[in-house]
Amino acid sequence: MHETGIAMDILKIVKEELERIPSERALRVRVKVGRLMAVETDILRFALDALKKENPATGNAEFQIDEVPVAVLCRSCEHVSLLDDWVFMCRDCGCRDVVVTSGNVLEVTDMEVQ
Amino acid sequence: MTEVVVQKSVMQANDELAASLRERWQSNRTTVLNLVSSPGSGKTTLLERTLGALKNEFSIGVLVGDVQTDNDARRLLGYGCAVLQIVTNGTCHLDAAMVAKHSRALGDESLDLLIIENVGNLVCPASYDLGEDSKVVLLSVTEGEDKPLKYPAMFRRADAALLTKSDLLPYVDSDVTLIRDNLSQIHSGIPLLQVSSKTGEGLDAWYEWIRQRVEQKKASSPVGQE
Repeated sequence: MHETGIAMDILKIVKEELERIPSERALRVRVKVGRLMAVETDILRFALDALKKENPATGNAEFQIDEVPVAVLCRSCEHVSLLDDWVFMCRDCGCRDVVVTSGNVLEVTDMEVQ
Repeated sequence: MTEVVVQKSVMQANDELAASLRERWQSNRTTVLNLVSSPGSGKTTLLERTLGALKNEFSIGVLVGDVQTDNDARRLLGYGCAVLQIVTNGTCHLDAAMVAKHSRALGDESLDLLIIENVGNLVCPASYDLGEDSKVVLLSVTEGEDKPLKYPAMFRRADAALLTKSDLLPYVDSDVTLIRDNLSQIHSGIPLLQVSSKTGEGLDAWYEWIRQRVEQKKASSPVGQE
């Protein structure tokens, strides 16, 4: 249940960006959440929608949450596999000596402002 | 209406602080372990045994995180090691800021080994780098063989796993081979030590694992690799 804290951090980044641009309001904010970040996107969305109202600059912003799948690079055949389950294994050669190349991201990617 | 590229990591503040802690512990050559598990898997009892066994070999400090109470810190006093409780007041994990504040208060610059007992939770602590050298995940034999599959992020990030409460194996329907297989699906090659803090089974291997980490760190350059 750390989604509330993460939502607060996201809103803080949005607020800092609005000040930096400067701009009055965020209309749309896109957030990338890697599946290895142990973040439940429904709870994150709920927290964002509840907390955004505390600030008029974010009150009407629509949050788009894109889940980023886990990908691994095989150390033996260099094939990159997207994992649709949680078996950390090369889908090409079956080797389990793999390095995670995607799925650890948690970022505010871009936003539309007014 | 304007489109703005942001690309800012939400974990940036935590990760930067964790990186500065890692740098500090590298220059002091303090080995730092982050113990994670579900509540009740035996982290504190394992620590009691570990402090008892290693207190004369190394200068050890412990930070212990809980949502409420300082019960765990009180249990760990009396071994002559520096112990501080971090009460998170509802937060389900430790973050780098809490660790930075309390490790200074603990006097971590003189430690060979700092053990951080995280809040019992296999989800949230996975996302927070504390600047540690290794995450050690505990899983007790009463918890179900599929724990690694249920909490893949944590088991993937861990550097070592301990199967605790092995003394209970005769009384529970726990299939150790299945646990190993499940763990290997998530994290192939991760060491899994079977231990019992009650009977002492496997603890020598655990202490040896710690000794190797401490010796490696002592022998490393104060500015880290390269």
